[in-house]
Amino acid sequence: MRGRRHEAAERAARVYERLLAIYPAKHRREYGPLMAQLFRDQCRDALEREGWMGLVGLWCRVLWDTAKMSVVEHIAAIQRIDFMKITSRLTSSNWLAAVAVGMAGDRRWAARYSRAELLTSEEAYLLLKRVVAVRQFRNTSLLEVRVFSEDRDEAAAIANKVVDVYRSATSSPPLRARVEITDRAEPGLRPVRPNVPLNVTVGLIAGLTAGFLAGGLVMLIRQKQRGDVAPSVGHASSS
Amino acid sequence: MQTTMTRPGTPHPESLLPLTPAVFHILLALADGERHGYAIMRSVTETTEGKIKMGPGTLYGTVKRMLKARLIEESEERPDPELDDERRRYYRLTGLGRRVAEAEAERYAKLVRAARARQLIGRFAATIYVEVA
Repeated sequence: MRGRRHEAAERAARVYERLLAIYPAKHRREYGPLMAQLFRDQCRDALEREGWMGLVGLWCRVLWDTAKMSVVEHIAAIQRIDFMKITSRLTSSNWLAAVAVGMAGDRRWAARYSRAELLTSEEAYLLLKRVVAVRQFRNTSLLEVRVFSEDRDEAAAIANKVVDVYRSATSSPPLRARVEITDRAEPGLRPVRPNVPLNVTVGLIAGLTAGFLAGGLVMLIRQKQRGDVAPSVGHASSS
Repeated sequence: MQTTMTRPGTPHPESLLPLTPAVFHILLALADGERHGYAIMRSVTETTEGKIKMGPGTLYGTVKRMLKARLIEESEERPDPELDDERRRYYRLTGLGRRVAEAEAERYAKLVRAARARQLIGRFAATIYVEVA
């Protein structure tokens, strides 16, 4: 009997874990395992104290709790993150100028642009504006800061600098936002532009498709020509 | 006149009142020591004689907001790992959390006194008769 109840609690917890998918991704990542563990404990408790009816009662309460709280958490997530605002702020002149101040002092960066002396903040800002792209990552609560450069180390250094400046500026009032870096920018292994493997694959698929289409078209024309010739031959023989 | 020293940026406890029932119940549960989620939930059920049974969503949603408001904090200490699942997270009151709980309890006490004055809370009488010779 005890084994059956334990198994029922485990099964209920697995169903609940799937149900957690309706919460926002960030909340689920942070509290999903804890919520599932709490529910498992509640299931065992309900089964021990009140039997199967206890489990049914618990499910009713938890379904209502999940429906209500998932809406609350989604609303909180929307209020918390205004991606459009953050994106425009990160690429605005004020913020990039702050990054530019840091980069302008970089002697290696100045040398890359064939300059004997350091770049001015204005020059650094104009360079940054062209290479920094910020967007929300696949409808999640993550923000992607992408920097394009011919130098892989430079791209990583600028991307990290953009986020560091944003983080230090928002850690104090009045902005006070919690910015966590999930992955620091690392120098890329191969260029993203041109993306050679992608270009070769696209070229291959396009070539094969064009070949098949051309082959099909030629066959169609030949069949049509044979069809046109055959009746005229028939007509000639009957006369 | 009584003054309280607070850290710059720390809100005054009174400014956070009134608390939602869930927040107050969690503060009460943590008033006598650190607990993990399930222990908090059990404590709330016992304190309210089963009238409030928090679901996992309500409990951890409230815990998240209380952590952000610095009313509670995660405890690094763990009981004997053999006795407890190490994946559990333990929470305890912060100084601010305790002051807020005290202020809210005092607010409730004033309400109870007001209700008693208006005879909304029943009074019991105990009478003893003594025969005097």
